[in-house]
Amino acid sequence: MNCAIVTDGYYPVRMGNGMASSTMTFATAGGRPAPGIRLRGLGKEFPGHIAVDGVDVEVGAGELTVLLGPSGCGKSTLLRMIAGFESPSRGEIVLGDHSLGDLPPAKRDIAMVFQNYALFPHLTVAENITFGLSVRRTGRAETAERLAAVARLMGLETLLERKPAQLSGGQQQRVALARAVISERPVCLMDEPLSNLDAKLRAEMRVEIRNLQKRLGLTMVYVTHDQVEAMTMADRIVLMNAGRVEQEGRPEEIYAHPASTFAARFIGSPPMNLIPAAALGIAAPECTVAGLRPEDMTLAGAGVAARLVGSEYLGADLFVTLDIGGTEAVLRQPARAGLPAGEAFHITWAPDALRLFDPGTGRALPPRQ
Amino acid sequence: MKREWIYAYLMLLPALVVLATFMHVPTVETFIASFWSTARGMRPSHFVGLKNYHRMIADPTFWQAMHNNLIYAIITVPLSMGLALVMALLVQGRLKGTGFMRMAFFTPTVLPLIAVANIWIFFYTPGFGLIDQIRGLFGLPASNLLGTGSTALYAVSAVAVWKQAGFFMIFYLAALQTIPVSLIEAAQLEGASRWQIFRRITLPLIMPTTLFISVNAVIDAVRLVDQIFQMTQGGPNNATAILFYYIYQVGFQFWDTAYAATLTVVMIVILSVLALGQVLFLDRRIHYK
Repeated sequence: MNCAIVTDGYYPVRMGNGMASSTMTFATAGGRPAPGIRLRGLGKEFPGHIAVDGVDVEVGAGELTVLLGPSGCGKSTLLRMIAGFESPSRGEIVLGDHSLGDLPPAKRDIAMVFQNYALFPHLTVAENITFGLSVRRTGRAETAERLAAVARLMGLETLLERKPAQLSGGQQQRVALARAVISERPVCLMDEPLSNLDAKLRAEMRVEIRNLQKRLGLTMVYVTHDQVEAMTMADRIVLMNAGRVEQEGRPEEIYAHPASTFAARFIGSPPMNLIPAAALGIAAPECTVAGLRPEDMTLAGAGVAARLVGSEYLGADLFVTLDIGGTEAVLRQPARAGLPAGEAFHITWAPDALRLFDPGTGRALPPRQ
Repeated sequence: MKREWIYAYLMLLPALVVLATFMHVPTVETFIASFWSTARGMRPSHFVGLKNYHRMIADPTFWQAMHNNLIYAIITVPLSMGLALVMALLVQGRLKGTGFMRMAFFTPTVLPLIAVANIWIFFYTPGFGLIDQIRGLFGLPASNLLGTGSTALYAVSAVAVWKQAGFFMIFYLAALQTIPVSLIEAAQLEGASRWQIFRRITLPLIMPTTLFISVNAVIDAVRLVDQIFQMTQGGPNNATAILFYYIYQVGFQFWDTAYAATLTVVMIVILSVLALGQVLFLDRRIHYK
């Protein structure tokens, strides 16, 4: 019996998961209520390649929605269509209660933070932040007032005369955010804004961006390939794969009830274990795949036999890699519980944590009674 | 450490020998020669101090050549640079036919200047040249742009602009390609017009290239005179005699080498001052990556 497990060949990189407290003080900016965004049957074809294939997504007003997926899944193209830099081949984008159609980017009332920040290298921080105001001919006094407020909000007061090259990655990120915030546009798009930062800074900025979004009541669409960012920041996650929406929901829903083996492997670090149901002694149709989160499995005196392959000590946790009937699986347990002597173990799991997937399509099977 | 230095100098030696032989030593010799008289027949060269320079100041042809050269530079430098930028902006996009346009714009650069000059002689030929044929369509009389004192300098300037703009375009094109698309998109998102994007983003970011091109264009305005040999030989009545051409005449037609050396020193000084001034003046206003 040869049971291949469908995961689309994607195994996410394990990420550090640090948290930092925010040092930002907030002020309010803008005043208009943020609209939601609806994507209806949105598609984008490039010559010889379909980037986005019929996407229906509801971005809640004032919510942070994360478009998550591996590179090439169409999430950035989707974001660029919302911004107006790409025109959809099919479908429509509705902001609030009006369709955006072919409206140019500047007329969409949308701010955006680019992946590499897109700061103007020859302008100072202050000139970068106020660029939009100056091309829109905002008055000098109002510009100065808004600049001061945003600089205070983003902690940039002492950096206003510097050029981008004289700033650290985190400071550049703040300038890019400040440029979006000062526009007082109620919708903000973010294209992998943290991918150029180191792990520690990324953890800090996650918290800052989330706080900023909540404080200003922004409708935010946030593109990332990093499931940790998605889990920690999102109100809703739209998981994408090969131009389609794989699953959509709150982080807890997607984590607990992955709709497919792809979702099961993409979300979670380490990801959900996919083991042939037969190897776990579960009565199910032939080749059915069983999914178990590493923390839902426990070492026990009796149960399904497993052989020790290796273990990884992470301080609080211990990741134990096991061979269960020829399939490798990772078990997560508190490190202080220790590892019993020997190499032959038994595992058990909470029955309600078990998920089953169709081996052919990779889609989740309804829970058994 | 010491071995590394010897190694470094050995690596530099071939270039140094060539540069010294053909550039540095002749420059110094020219400077020295400008204080000596030209050897003629039985009279060997002797030291004359500043006599050659006094003669130069009193020489009306020298001043005319300087004046011509100034006008030549004022026309060719901004025009060739501006045209280069316009052409680069035209062909930098991904529109259909840009490959053909790039090639067309660059072709004059590939041609030898002498060949270019011959093409333009045909354009300018009185009566049946291209320009007069077009004038004829509008019922205008025949012209002699090259043979008329008041227009000859502009006529040879046009050749230089036509020849150089395509070359400078390549540099502008390379510079434009290095500007990240996201910068333009960020500006678009903020509502900047195409003109605002050009003036406030594109132009400042290609300033290092503009400086490089402007130094080259100024040097070329003094140096690039092949078409004058072919088209006018400095005439009519010295109307197209620019400094470098006058130096050639004095040195290799009149064989007055000492006076030619004196004129050359002046040309070197002018070029050095201009290049230094450009770099010092523009450097402070340029953003380098």
